[in-house]
Amino acid sequence: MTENTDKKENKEKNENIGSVHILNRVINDIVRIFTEQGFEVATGTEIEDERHNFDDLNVPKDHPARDMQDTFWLKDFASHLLRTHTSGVQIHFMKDNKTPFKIVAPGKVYRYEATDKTHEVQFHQLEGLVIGENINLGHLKNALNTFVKKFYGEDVETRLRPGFFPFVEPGVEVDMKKGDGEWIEMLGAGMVHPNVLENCGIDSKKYQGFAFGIGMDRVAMLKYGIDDVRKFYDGDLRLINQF
Amino acid sequence: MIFSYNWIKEYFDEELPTAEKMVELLTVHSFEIEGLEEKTLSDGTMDSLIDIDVLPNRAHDALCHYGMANEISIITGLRLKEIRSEIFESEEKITNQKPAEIKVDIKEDFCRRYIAKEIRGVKVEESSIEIKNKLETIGQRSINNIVDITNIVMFELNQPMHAFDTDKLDGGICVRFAKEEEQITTLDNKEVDLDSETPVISDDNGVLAIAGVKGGKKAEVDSETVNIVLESANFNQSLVRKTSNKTGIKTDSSKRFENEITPELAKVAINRATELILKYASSDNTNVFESVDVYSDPAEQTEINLTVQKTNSLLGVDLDTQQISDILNKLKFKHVINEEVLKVEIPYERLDLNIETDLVEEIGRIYGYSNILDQEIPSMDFSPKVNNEYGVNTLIRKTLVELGFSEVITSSFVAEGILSPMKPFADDRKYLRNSLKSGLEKTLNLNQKNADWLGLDHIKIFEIGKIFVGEPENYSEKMYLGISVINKQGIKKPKPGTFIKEALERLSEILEQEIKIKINEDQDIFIEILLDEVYESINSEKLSIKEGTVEYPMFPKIKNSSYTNVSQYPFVLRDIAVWLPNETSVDELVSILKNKAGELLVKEPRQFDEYKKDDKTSYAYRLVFQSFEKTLTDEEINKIMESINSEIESKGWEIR
Repeated sequence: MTENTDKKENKEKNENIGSVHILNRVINDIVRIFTEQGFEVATGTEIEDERHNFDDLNVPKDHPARDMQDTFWLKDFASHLLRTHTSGVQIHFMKDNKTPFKIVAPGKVYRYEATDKTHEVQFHQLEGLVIGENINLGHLKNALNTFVKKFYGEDVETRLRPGFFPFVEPGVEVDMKKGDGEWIEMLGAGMVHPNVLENCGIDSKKYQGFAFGIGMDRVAMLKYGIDDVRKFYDGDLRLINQF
Repeated sequence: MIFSYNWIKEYFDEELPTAEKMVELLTVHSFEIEGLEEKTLSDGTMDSLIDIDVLPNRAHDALCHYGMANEISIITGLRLKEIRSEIFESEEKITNQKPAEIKVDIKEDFCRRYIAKEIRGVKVEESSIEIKNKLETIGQRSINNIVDITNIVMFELNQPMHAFDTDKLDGGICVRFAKEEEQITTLDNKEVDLDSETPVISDDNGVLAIAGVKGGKKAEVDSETVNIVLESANFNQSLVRKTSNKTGIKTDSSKRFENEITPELAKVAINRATELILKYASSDNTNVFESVDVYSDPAEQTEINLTVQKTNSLLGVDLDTQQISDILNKLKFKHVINEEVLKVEIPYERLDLNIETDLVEEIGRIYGYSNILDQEIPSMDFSPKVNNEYGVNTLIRKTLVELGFSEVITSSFVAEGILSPMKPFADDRKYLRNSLKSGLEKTLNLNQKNADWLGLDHIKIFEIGKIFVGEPENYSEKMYLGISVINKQGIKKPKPGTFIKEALERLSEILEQEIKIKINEDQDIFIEILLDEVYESINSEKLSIKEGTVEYPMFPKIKNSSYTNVSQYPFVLRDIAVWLPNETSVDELVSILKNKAGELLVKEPRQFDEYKKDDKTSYAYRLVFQSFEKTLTDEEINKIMESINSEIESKGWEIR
């Protein structure tokens, strides 16, 4: 009888524990991987101005690079938008802080897109930025390898291949592969473009660094086998309470 | 863009790697590949189509077959046929060119270069099979030999071209802005209203084309055409982009101009087109006229000093001057070496290469990113600070989850509000939320319906998210915590407000500050709290679990390591209550329930009542049935229940 009562209590206790949303759990796990390596967490606003979301990031007006991120511009509010990435947070950080530094910036972002299993108008990103005197592409590799190995497992490897984002040069796409599996596209990254550094008042002759941006939704979908990104945002506890 | 393997092959004498191998090489050195497929053309020819994602940085040079062939030549080391110099010479080869008669008048500086070339006595007919095949592979429609040739040249060299019927022109060609209320009927018969900001090509009487975007009906080349004027021009990138966006006309031509191409290409293209017209569309009476070339703003030769130091420092490698020079040779970039500095002459079409770091990328990708070693980030003079927003949010999540609350993330877009996006994406999501309330209410209702499936008597949820208040210009963005509770239908106590009150008390305790929100335990099912104030007043040290470092609170352990799909079909409930002798373990009953219910039982049987009387105890369980394939009928479930009942009876237990 006592045994039964214990069991019952355990069960009730279990039922009584709610769930952190799986996306925030994933963000938390990844942030921890970086804070353990001495990164600072930076946060910012979801409404941004054109300058911090695009111009300072070397994405000029009337340039096709702007089409790479379909934007929610705000009505009756010139030059204001819902941030398309958390890069604006990094711009503010660079302007307001001394170099060198290591930061990660998690947050909700928005893109004006048709929604389907892999696209939502709102999703979550985590961007990283390291600026110092001799930071190079090999250091980026290290940061990303540390992340995938701690998050997905020791048998996961990464590869860099050419990519294009106006705010980095060189720009790379990063793929990962588990064991003998296929290469899967993971994230975009690169060495911060000198124009971006200069726009933020950092001497690009003295300092350089890397940046990366990871889509949290995709990471969560891959790790936990969730097939539809829209399921993260309908508040259905039949998904949320599984984790 | 779709590339034809057969087409690319024409530019090489040596044998190319297979399409699969090419895809592999391009992936690691140059571009992302979207797809590769075999295609049988209508005449039976086999080709491989490679869908290559050429992004804006390389659209200047590689959004065309010859440009892509050059890239392949660089990464494979195979020699590319130098068709360009041949083309350059080809004009001189046409010895009997007549002096130009066409007049070209450039009125605006959005046109950096305009080449017009008249050819008389052409034979307009169906294209030859070689040309038709090329167009078919890349998904383009064949019109007639002249129009097809202008398209072929664009997909070969990246230079958009146009052909006008000379006999339909009134006077010469003029490049200008449209006049207010001018109109054009485009080649696909659409009427487009123009304004004084629209760049156009016109003759003395009217508009012939929207510059760089789309040709017009007026001077269209058709089967009756005998004399043509070829246009190979260069129009300002952002003006073409604006025009294309404003008119809503996106073409292969506008795409190339808005990405910017070098005006140097115009000459190559006009020669190539002339060569092809002489080959495929000439008659005994064909006469070629000299080009009129108005080149007001010539391209400048870019030179970049590339240092060994910067290359190594950015890439994290240890290359010497000679190694870098070798890579530049592979890239076919002319350069002179001056000790540790390489002065590099950039090909005209590579408009993406402007500064030293641009060249470092070229070195890196040809050297191979896989050859760069993983290197530990050197220690730096930086001590991370606690981020109060992130820390407080983490602490709140942990606290509420421990109290049985679950976190939801709802849409930032709602049906009513003030701030809104210019183009909303759905009628019921026109505004940015100014409260978390409506999102949480919707969520409560959804989950209340599934309370039995979830095994919950109380749906307890929260959200931490931004809300947006006020008018544009003086709006503010605030971080809020919303907490909401509803009971399962039929469950009266405790009331939702009791849980909310408990949550607020615990949060006040944990955050060490009083949360001043009045709550009516009998009525309230929703509250929201401004968090920005908490971030300001919290003691940062409280947010790190390890003194002297930044280590944010940990969440309770995750419950499952992978997601189990949820059926879209309705679920069916059945309750069963059984008297068990006190000495019998309830586990025995549960295992019978599970075994007999089988696959359709989607959740663990949930006990909702236990009642002891003398030497026996009554246990009541609720069973949730659901199928992934269909809506379950009562009959199906009754059958299962019967088998459960008979198994229980055979044990000698009494069903209540």
